[in-house]
Amino acid sequence: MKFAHKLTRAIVLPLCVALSAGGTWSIHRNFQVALDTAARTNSADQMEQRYALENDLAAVQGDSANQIYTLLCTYEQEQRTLGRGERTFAVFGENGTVLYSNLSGTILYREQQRALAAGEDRVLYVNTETADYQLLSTPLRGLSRPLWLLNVYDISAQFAERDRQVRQHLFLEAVALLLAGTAAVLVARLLTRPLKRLETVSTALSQGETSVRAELHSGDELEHLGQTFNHMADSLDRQMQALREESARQKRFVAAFTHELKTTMTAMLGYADLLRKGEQSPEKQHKAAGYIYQESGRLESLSRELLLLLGLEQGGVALEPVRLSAVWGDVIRSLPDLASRLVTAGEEKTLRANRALLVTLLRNLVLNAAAADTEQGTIRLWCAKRAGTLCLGVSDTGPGIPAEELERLREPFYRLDKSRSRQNGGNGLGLTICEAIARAHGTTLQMESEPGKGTVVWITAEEAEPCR
Amino acid sequence: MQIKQYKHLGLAAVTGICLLSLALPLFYRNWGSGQLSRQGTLRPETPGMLSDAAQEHQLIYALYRNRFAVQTALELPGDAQQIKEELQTKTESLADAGALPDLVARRARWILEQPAQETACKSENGFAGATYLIKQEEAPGSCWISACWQENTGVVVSYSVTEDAAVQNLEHYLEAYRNYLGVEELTDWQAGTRKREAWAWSQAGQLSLFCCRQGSGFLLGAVSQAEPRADWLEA
Repeated sequence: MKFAHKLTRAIVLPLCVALSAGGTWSIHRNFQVALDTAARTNSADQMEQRYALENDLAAVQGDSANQIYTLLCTYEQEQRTLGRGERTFAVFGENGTVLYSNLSGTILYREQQRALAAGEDRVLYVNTETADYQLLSTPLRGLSRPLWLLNVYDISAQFAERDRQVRQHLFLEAVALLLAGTAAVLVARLLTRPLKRLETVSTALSQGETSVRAELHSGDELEHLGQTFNHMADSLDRQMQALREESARQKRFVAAFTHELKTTMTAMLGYADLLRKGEQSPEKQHKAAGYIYQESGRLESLSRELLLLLGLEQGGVALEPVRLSAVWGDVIRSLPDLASRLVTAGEEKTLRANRALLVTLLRNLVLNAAAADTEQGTIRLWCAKRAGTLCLGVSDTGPGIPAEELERLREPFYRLDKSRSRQNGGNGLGLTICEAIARAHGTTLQMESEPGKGTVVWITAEEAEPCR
Repeated sequence: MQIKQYKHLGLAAVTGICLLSLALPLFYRNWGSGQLSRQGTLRPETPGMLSDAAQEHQLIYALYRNRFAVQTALELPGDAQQIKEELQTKTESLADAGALPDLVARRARWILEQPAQETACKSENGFAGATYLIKQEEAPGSCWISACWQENTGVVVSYSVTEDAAVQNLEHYLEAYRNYLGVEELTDWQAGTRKREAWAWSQAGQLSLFCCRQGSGFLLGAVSQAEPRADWLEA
C-alpha cells in the first residue's frame, strides 16, 4: 500500500470513529435530557392529579369499585369542564384490578401491569406504530384500600426529535467525511511529493548519475532529509572521484614500475648474455659484471624503498620529540661524500617527529639537490619560521625545475632527466617517499623552484618541548 | 509473506470496523428504543417533592397535599351550637396540651359563652373550619374564635382568637403546639423568634409552625411550605 493511501486512511478512519461516537453520544445526551424533562413535567402533572384524587377519594363514603368508578367519572367530567381533558390515566386496585381507565387500546394491559410492577421510582416506555408513550405509576396514599394511579403521556415528539437528529447527523457525517477525505488525499499527496522526488533521485544515483540532487523546499524535516541526502550524494561523488584517481595512480605506478624493471632487466640480460658467450676481453667482462652488480644493487635498493613506501602508506608512525641538531648530524654522517657541500642554518629546535624517517626525508632531498647541481654548489639544510609556522627544508643552487614539472615530481618513477638520474643510482621513488613521510607527519612536501637559481623543498614541522 | 497477509487482513478489518462505526447512530436508535421499552429509566427527582418518610405521616402529608389542592369552598353560616361545641373541644385540647396561654384560653372560653352574632363553617379536602363571632357591648368591634382541623383526626392546624393580653414566651407555646401536632419526630427543625412571633420550619416535612400575636389576636398555625418565610430568615 502506498504511503499516501496509509496517510489518508490514518486521517479518515479515526475521523469516522470520532464523528460517529461523538455524534451518537451527543444525540444520546440530548434524548436523555428531553426524556428527563418530559418525565419531570409529567411527574409534576401526575402528582397534581394524585393529590386531587386522594382528596376526592378520602372524602367519599365507602370504597367499593362502583363508588370509586363513579367518583373517577365525575372527576374526569370536572377536568373536562375545567379544560383538562387530555389526561389519560387508569386507577388500579389490589391485584391489578382495573377500577377505572380511559387509556386507549394501544397500551396493552400487560404493559400497564409492568408499569405498576416497576413502581413509582421508574419510568417505562411503550413504542407503538403510531406513537411513543411514557408510563408513570404511583400509589394513592391515605386511603382505606391500596390503589395505584397509572398515567400515560404521549412523548412522540421527543422520539421524533431524536430520529431527526440521527438523520441530520448521518447527513453531516457524510458531508464531513467527503470533505475530510478530499483534504486528506490532497494533504497526503502534498506530503509525499518530496518523498517521490527523493525516490527519483536515488534511482538516478543507483544508475550512476551522481550529479543529480534532490531540490526540496518544503521547509520541514523532509527538506532536512533532502539536504542530508544531497550531502551523502556529494560524499559519494567525492569518494568515487578519489577512487578513480587512486585507480589511475595505481595504474601509472604499475606501468612505471614495470618499465623500470624492464629497462633494468633488459640491460642486465644483455650483459649476462655477453658474459655467457665467454669471448670477451677481461675488461669487457669486468664492465659487464660490474654493471650487473650495480643494477642488482639498485633493484635491491628499489625493493627496500618500496617496502618503506608500503609501510608508510599503512600508517602508524610513532612521533616523539627530536632535536634538530641530531637529525642534521645523522644526515651529514650518512653522506660523507657530500659533507663538504652541506651547510646548516637555523636555531636549535626540538621537533615532534620520527627521527629515522625525518633523516631519510632530508637525506633524499639532499641527494636530489646534489644530483641536480652539477656545479658542486652548496646545499643548505635550514630551519626557520615562515608566517608563524616552523619550516624545515633543503635548498640548492642548481639549475632549478620548470614549474610544469614540479607537481609531477612526486609521482613514483618520474625523473626530470631519466638517463642521468638512473646513472646516479636513483630509482625515481625518492620524492614519492619524501611525500609519504611528510604525510605521516601531518604535512605535505612544498617545492619552490626558479630555473637558473635553484630549488627549495620544505615541510612544516610541529615544535615540541625540549628533550631532557 | 504470511505476516504481510495478516497485516493486510488486520488493516482491512480495522477499515471495515471504522466504516461500520458510521452507522453507530442508527444502531443506537434501534438499540436505545428497545432498551427503553425493556427497562425504562429511573424517574428523575421532582423538585419540591415531599420525602417518603414525611409522606407516611398522615397530618404532614395531608397538609402538603392540601397545598396543591384547588380551594373552592366558602365558609357558610352553620349551626351555632354545633360550632360552639366543636370550638370548645378544640380550645380545651389545645389548652390541655399547653399550646394556649391561660389568658388566651380564658378569653376563648368567655367568647364561646357569649351568644353568637355570627357563625360560619366549611369543609374541603379533608379539613374543616369554623368561626364563632360575638359583638362586644362595652367596646366597638367584635371578638371571634376561628379554627381549622383535620376532619378524620380532629387535630387543629389553625387557631386564632381575639385577645389583647401581651402574651410572652411565645416559643414555649410553639413547642407545646409542635408536640400536640405529633410532628416532633422530624429532626431538622429550624426555629426562631421575632418581636411578636415564634416560628419553626422543617425541610423534611416542608412544614412551618407559628405562634404569634397579630393586631388584637393570638394565632397558632401549621402550614405546608417548601421554604420558610423570607421575613423569618431576615429576623
